[in-house]
Amino acid sequence: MKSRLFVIVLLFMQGVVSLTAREVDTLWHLSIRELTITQSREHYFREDKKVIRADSLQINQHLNASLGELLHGITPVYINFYGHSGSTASIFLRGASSSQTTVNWNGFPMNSITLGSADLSFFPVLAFNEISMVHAASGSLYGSGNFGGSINIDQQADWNRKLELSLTPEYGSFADRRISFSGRGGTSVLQIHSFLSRQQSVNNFAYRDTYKFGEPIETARNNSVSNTVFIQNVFLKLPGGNHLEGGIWHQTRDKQIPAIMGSYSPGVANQQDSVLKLYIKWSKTGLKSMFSIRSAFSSDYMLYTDKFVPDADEYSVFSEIRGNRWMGDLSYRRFIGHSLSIDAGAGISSLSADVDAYQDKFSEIVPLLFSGVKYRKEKYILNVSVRKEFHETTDVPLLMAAGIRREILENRLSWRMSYADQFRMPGFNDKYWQPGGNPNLLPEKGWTADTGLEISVKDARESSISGDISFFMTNIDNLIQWAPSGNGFFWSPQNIRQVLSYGLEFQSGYHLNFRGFQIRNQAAYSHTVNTIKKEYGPSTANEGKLLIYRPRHLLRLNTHVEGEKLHFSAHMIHTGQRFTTEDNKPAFAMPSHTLLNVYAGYQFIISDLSANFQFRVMNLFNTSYQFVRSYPMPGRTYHLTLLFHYNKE
Amino acid sequence: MSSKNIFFKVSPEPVSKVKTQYPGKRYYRIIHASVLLLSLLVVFSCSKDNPDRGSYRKGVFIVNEGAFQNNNGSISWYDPNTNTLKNNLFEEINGRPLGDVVQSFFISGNLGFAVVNNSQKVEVIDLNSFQSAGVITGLSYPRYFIANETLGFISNGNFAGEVFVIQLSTLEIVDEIAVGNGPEQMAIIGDNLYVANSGGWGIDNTISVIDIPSLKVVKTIEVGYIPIALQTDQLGQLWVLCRGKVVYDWNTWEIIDETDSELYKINTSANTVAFSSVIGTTGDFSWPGFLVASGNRSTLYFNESGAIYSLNTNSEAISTSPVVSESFSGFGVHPESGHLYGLFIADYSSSGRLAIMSSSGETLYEKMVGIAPTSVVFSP
Repeated sequence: MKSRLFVIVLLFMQGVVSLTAREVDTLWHLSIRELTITQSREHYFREDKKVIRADSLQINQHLNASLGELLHGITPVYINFYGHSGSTASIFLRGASSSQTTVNWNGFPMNSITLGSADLSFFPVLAFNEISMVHAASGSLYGSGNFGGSINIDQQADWNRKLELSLTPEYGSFADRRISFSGRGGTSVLQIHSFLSRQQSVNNFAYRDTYKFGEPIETARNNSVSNTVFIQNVFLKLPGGNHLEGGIWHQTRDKQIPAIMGSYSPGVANQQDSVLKLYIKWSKTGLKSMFSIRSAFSSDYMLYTDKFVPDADEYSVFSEIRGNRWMGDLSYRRFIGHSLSIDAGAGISSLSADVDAYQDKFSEIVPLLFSGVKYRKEKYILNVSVRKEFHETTDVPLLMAAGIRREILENRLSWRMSYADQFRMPGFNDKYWQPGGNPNLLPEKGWTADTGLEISVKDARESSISGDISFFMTNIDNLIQWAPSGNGFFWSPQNIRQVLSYGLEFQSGYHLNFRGFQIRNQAAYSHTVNTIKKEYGPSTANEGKLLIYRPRHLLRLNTHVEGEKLHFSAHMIHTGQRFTTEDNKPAFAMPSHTLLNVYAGYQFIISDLSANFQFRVMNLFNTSYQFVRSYPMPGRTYHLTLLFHYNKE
Repeated sequence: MSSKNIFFKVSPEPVSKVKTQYPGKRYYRIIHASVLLLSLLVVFSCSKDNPDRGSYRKGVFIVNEGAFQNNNGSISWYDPNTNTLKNNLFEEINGRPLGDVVQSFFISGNLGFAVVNNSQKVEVIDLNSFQSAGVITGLSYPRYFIANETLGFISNGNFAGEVFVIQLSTLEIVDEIAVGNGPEQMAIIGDNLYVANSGGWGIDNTISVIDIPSLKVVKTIEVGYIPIALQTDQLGQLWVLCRGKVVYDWNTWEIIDETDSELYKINTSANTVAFSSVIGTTGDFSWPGFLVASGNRSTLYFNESGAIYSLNTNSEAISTSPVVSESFSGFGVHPESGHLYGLFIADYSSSGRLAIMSSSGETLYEKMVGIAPTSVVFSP
């Protein structure tokens, strides 16, 4: 194992060493985005934050991937995969749980109404123009549940695009078949985006069941998934600075849930999801102002079934979960002089859920007010924003965020620092699940603070080098934790913890044009410590322990060499040890593992049409590993992806 | 002269003298071989893969259920004579976890039988080394194991249940006997196997009596609702702990009705109910979970309303005051010392605790054990 790791590190060493040379990077897109008057407030006020955006190269290497697979491949962020292709994927961003990190589609939250978390296996990468991750996004901008940050999946109009079509069939090991179609185009006043994808995977990979007597080689059973996504967007530019856009998202997924390792049952559990999401947004832009109204509706349905034995006639579990969310939002931005702008906004969201386990239907309406001030002058950007939400049963304090970005060396070196109040409302399951739901839960509350340096240097040969280093600290109080209750007959959530997280993140990259070849290397590392600071419950035995499934160390080393037609990439992904029990017993910890994925491709271009053949080998060294204890992951897998792309500018 | 003698000579003699006396190539080889052997011994004795393989025939076994779907169920072993406790023993010895939700453990001769509910298996363990000696599969919802000299029996099922019959010499299932709903603990008295039909995920109130020679159910005895635990007394009579039925309001999930918790005594000659007593009344919202016996089986212990009470099997009298006023997740009485062993679950993600108490309830020893400890098994 160590020798393998050594070989892998050597392979990437040239990239890391070269970081000391004179290169430039456009890969991590750490530079400040230019001010756009029409930006939503979530984008407008994030320049004091660390923002990572997936670039086109990274997207091209994950054409048919899910958001979870993409982030796992390109960022030092921990994704907990409950199995192979199509399985549930939960993010742990800076140690915050998946219910403490929001996913937003064009500014609208996508987290489950009932669970509060977002399953990253649900979102297809290729559907979006921009995928960005804002670390420690402000509670004042995004609302509940951003201790870790926010992931934004956005679609934007390119008014110059006439027609762009892409078709990407893919065939992988274990009958993992995926295909995506994307069409974007229109005129300078009307743009239409269409996206359709289909995934069907059997996932019958072999693995050594180290939990069984004799450690036999088993084949994963009851593990197939089928997933269909349709997304349609329309963007309309009207006279007088008016813009209108709308979108619809429909998705169905049918996933078998396999038995865990060590089990002698084949497993017959199944989960079906169906979602429908709609949004519409109108904005009017003047010389010194912008006004927008937006509204969104989402309807989520999930059916979970299980049987005691495979051939049983009746289900042992037949659980239906229905959730609806409607939200509306008004926003106004006014520029005063050249440096100052003021934002004001109001919104309302309505949530409702009809879940078998709740024994009733529940709903809540949450109005909110928002205001923000941005000051930009020469080398400074200052942001201040506040938010007040009005919950029916809970008093949420005024949320404040403030941040600064200062350019130290023009276009080369900048410094940023931010602070934000945070909170998370208890999810519907926390409050209403029977047995155990606790309607008297308090919201989690706390703060995040972050500071960092960004460097970006270009030379005359269009080579570049860039780097970013961040230090962060997050405090969460009243952490909601499910604990045994009712004489041990069921569990109940309680506000029983204070958690302190801190850490360091480092990433760098360079891009070199050398004799017709483009060489791009990236290195990214994160060191995160999430400690249970205090326990208010009956036991304080776990004070000082680390939260489960939070690796201290994550490392990504990526290298890419691209010629006129051929390209080659290699990704090394190292995940540190994770504890799986609250008392951090090493015996039950998941050991660290290192994966190496390699990509090779060939492309040719005929006029406006291009074709790209990509072959990739994932887990080249056939490493045996698990993200979640007892959920096996496959060994080496092979994937062939074709990309047919037509672009008429 | 053996190589051993050379080594002994080296130390007291001057080096030069030893060299002159050095007896030739053959001894070089012996020395090299010895050094190599010694090195290997050092290396392997330091290796984590080869822990202490002492005998575990005698001692106290703590069954740690572990967390559902986490494969972290385990067995802790405690030696009262040396005050030694070893956690996670099976994985330490075998290099793999015991499994998901360890329900119970039974000792028969040199073998231990760990029933691992959500791994659908019974792991058979050689107690001389605690190495796995085999695994019994083909089960759907195994609960308990019991054996006589030749046959083993596994209670299995969450609704309509069965008892699987195991040939101990081959560890293979040789028969299957349908019993009531949710069969739990079993007892062997003479040629009869008694099975407590707890209802599982439903309701039941019967004891199935199986004639072992014919492997047939010969009688079904009605007792109180939800019989979950069985003990034999010193006279060979069977005692049954019935937890009582609990009815929930499906809107509020509050308990709106419950029946009494009861103790039943079965006359094993006639297989009829000889005695019954209410130990927990409707409205106390408490349900006993275990029934254990003293070393001579003249006293039984059960939990009710957050305390341990005792029953004298001769007088059929229940103690009016608690033996210990604690709420345990598992309990046992050491057959020789009479010490009380109480278990506590912290949560399902942290180590539980073992407390050893004197017969009067004074704590003598406390130690952390595995996750979610639920029962104590004393070696015979």
